This record gives sequence, C-alpha cells and structure tokens, in this order.
Amino acid sequence: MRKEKSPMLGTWQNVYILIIVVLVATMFLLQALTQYYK
Amino acid sequence: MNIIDWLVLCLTIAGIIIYGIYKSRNTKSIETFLLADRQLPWYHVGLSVMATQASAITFLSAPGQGFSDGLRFIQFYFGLPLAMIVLCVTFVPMFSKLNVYTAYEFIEKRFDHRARYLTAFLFLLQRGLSTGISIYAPAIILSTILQININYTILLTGLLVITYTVYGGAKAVSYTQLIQMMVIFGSLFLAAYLCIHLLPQHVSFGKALQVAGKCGHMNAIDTKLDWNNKYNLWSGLIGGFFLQLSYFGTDQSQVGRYLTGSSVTQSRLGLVMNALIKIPMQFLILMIGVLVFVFYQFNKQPVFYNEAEVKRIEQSVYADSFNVLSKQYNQQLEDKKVYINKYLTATDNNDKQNYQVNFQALQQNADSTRKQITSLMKLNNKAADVNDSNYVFLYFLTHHFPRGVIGLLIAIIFLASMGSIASGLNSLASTTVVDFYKGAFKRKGTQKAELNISRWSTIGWGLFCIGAAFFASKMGNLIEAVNILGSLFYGVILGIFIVAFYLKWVQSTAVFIAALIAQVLVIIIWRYDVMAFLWLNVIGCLLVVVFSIILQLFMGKEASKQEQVTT
Repeated sequence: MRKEKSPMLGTWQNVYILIIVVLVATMFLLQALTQYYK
Repeated sequence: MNIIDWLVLCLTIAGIIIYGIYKSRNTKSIETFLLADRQLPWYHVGLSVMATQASAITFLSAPGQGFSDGLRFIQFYFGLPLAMIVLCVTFVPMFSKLNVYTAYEFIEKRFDHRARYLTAFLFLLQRGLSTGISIYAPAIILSTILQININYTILLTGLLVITYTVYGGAKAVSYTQLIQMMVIFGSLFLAAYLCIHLLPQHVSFGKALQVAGKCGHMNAIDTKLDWNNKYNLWSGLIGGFFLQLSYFGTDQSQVGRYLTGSSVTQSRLGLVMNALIKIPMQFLILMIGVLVFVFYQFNKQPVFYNEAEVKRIEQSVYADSFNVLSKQYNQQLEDKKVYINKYLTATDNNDKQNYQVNFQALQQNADSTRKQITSLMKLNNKAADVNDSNYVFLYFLTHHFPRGVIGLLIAIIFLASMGSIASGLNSLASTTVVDFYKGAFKRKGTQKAELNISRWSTIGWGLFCIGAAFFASKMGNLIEAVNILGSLFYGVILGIFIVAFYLKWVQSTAVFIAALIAQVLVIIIWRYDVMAFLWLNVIGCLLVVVFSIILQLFMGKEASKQEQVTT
C-alpha cells in the first residue's frame, strides 16, 4: 500500500468510540423492541 | 416469471458483468489480478467487503431464518463492529507494513513456513467448501424457476462466475461488487416496502409486528446465557466477535478485499463503513422474513415451500396420506387466522389474552402436523430435503411480487452470490499461487507466466467448488451451514494470528503443534455437540493460545534459541 499520512490517533479513537456507542444503542433499541412486542 | 422479469434479470446481470470486465481490461500483472494494484478508495473497499460477506445465502436463507425463527439471528452480528475496531488497530497496519499479498505470508515472516502452510491449508479447505455452498444457493433459484435439475443450474452458475473472475481478477470482482451492492441496497428497501404494502388493509405495520411478537418472532435479544442456545446476546458478542475477527482478519477472501485499498486510511475507512452498516442491513433482511411470516398468517400458505419435494411426494405411494395431512394443516391455519383477526380487533384485555392462547395452541398443532408431513417425505425418499427455509422467500417473491420486480430481486440474489463466489475464487487463487506455488514450491516466472498460473488456479478452484456444491443440499439451512463450517477452522487460524501478534516470545514449533491439537479438539467438540457452534471460534482460539504458551514454557528458552538459529 502507498504510504499516506493517517489521521491523528485521537481522530481514529473517536471513530472507534462512535462505533461502540452505535452498537450499544442498537442493542438497547432491539432489547426494547423485543420487550415491547413480547 | 414472464418476459419482463426475464429481461430485467438478464440485462441487470449482463450489464454488471460487462462493466466489471470492461474496467479490468488492462489486467496484465499478478499485482493487478490479485490486489487490483492496491489503488481503490474506501467506499470501494467497504462495499467490496460487504459484498463478499453477503452472498445469495444472505438473501435466501436470512429471510427464511426470519420467517421460521424470528429476529434472533441478528445477535450473530453483534461481534462484528468490535472485530472491525481490532482489525483497524492491529491487522490492517501490520499487513500494510509488511506489504503482503496474503495474510499467511505474515505468518511465515513471524514464525516459519510450517505455520504458514498449515494456516493456508486450513483456509483453502474451509473457503473451498464454503464457496461451494455459495454456488448451490443461486442454483436453487434457477432450478426452481426453470424447473430443471439442480445439478445443471449449479454448473451454469459456477461457470458464469469463473469466466469473469478468470478474466478480470480482483478488479473485475471489486467493480462488479460496487454496482451489485448499490442495486442490492435499493432492491432491499423496495422488497421491504412491498412486504408491508401486501399486508391486508386492516393490518398496519404496527399490528403486523404485534402478531409477529405474539408468535415469538420479535425475539431480537435474548440475554440469558445458555451454552447450547445458538443465538443469544453473549454468543453473538463473544463468539460472534471471534468468528468475525477471524473471518475478516485471517480469511484471504476478506483480507484480499481490504488490501486493495490505496492506503491504510482507505482500508480502515472501508472497514468502519462495514461496522456501521452491517447490523442495520441484516436487520432489514430478517425483518423482511418476519413480514413474510405475518403475510402468511392472513393469506393461504403452501404446506411446504420446496415445490420439487411436494411434487415428489404427490407422485408417490404416500400421496393419499400427504393429502389428508395437508388438509388438516390448512384447516389448522384457517382456524388460527380467525383467532388472530379476533385478537387484532378485540378491545378487552382478557379477550385478547384468550385469543392469543388459542392461536398459539393452534400454531403448535400446525407445527406438529407439518412435522408429520416432513417425516412422510423422509419415509418416501431418504435423501429428501426437509428444511424448506431456503425456499420461503423465493416462493413468496415469485407468487406475490409484481412483474419486473421479481426479475430484479432474483437478479440481486444472483449478483450477491456472484460477488461472494468471485471473491472466494480470487482468494483461493491468491493463496494457492502466493503461498504454495511461489512460497512452498519456490517457483518463479515472468509476470505473464504468473498471471497464467493465477488464472488456471482460479479455474481449478472453480471446478472444485462446483463439485462441493453438489453435496450442499445435505446441509440444511445454508447460512448456518456456512457459519458452522467457518467456525470449525476460524478459531484455530485466529489463535495462530493472535499468538503471532501479541505473544512475541512464542516460537513456531510450539504454535504449530498447538494448532494441530486445537484443530482436532475443536472437531471433536463439534462432533459430540458439546456446545453451540459460535463458541467453537472462542474455544479454538483460546486452545491455540493456551497450548502455545504451555508448550513454549515446556520446551524452554534453549529450544526457542535453537529454533531461531535454524529458521
């Protein structure tokens, strides 16, 4: 792969945190859906 | 299918293949053939990664899974976003730094050739068989539509993909996948809309979900930890994490996709895109299956969705018994429909409760009648395929969707399948040429000669996969079959990579022996059905790591020093 300046670690960290937040929110949402229609 | 459907189907498939071939017309080197010159942007990488994972199985079996089992399969994907993070942090920069063609080259650089060939061999075995199953799925469609023997349609599907993969390599794979995914996303929304639109007028979307919920189909999350339950939150998060990490981190069909990225950043962004889109996409597909289930609560449904098996029993000596059971089954469903309608219109909570108990009891009766029917099919023909979940969506599609849309949706099922088969073949060829032809046999030739070998290797693996597809009908629900097959080998392969990345003091002999023992143990655990298959990924990985540490400690530093000298 061609070498390219990657974003600062902080930026990537934020991306990873965003992924985790979205995952957790999705799980809560699905749990609510399961309970509501039980 | 009428003439409009055929036209839409043929034009969509032909157009996309011609586009892929056109974009890859300048394939003259092995670098272009195997890695598309490592020049692709992030959205190409992301869509290609998604298209590789999403095969026809995703669009046939997943709605079938939603239809028969509800939403709980969604938990299988919870580990995926976490795996993407680990890949972005560790695997992508490492593969990039070492400038490798295949993931297994890294293993030789870290350990020795034995460990590389073992991981590459396990990959070839697993991917070859899985790609065979991927060929079988679209062949079902053709066979159902054309009413011809499935063996011919397996041959046709396999040869079609081999042709463009052999010609254009990774570039053709990636460019066709880009368009395929766009068509797929559009069509999925259209299918979801039509499913809702086809529900009876008095059944709104909310009411449809209520019915699905009361029939146990809105079971998206199960928090109870049960080792034998295939899909719950924990098996999805932990087992799924190991499976996805192994699949995306060590399976060349995926590694080969993100190695086509023009930089580490582009490859990472592609994976991040996958992390964010995958779960909503799978949810949508499963929800389509659930909506089909609700649709058939208000409309006449067939006794069995695989029409070929129905025909077979109708022409057998068991025809009379089959007709009696079919009538009984239909009557039970009719009675159930009455109670569901009463349930939906009731205002009093006690009445609602009573109607619910009634239709749930009738559902159980209908299920047991259906079991008798499938037993009858088995009695008539031992080789009968009694799992019809792969046929549910196809049946619904061909019987209830408007003209033109049927052709388009069948085209996307085909395209999805072709995308993942093409990636599979390309990765099998890469591993064979890079790890065995150039690696093990130390063969070197001109660019042209190597390109030819890559193409012949693609043809060879294509034929192997077609052979494997002939046996796929014995494997039940295909999406599960593929994942069970992966889980048997992925854990061990991942274990080798984890030791390579994080346990720098462990040497090759220790990891090699550990991997062999772990692989045998995983197969034994699976054979005796000790736990649900997703956990095999965790067990396989942990066994390799633990055995490697123990063996290295046992062999001592002297052995490792000696090894370092000799390797």
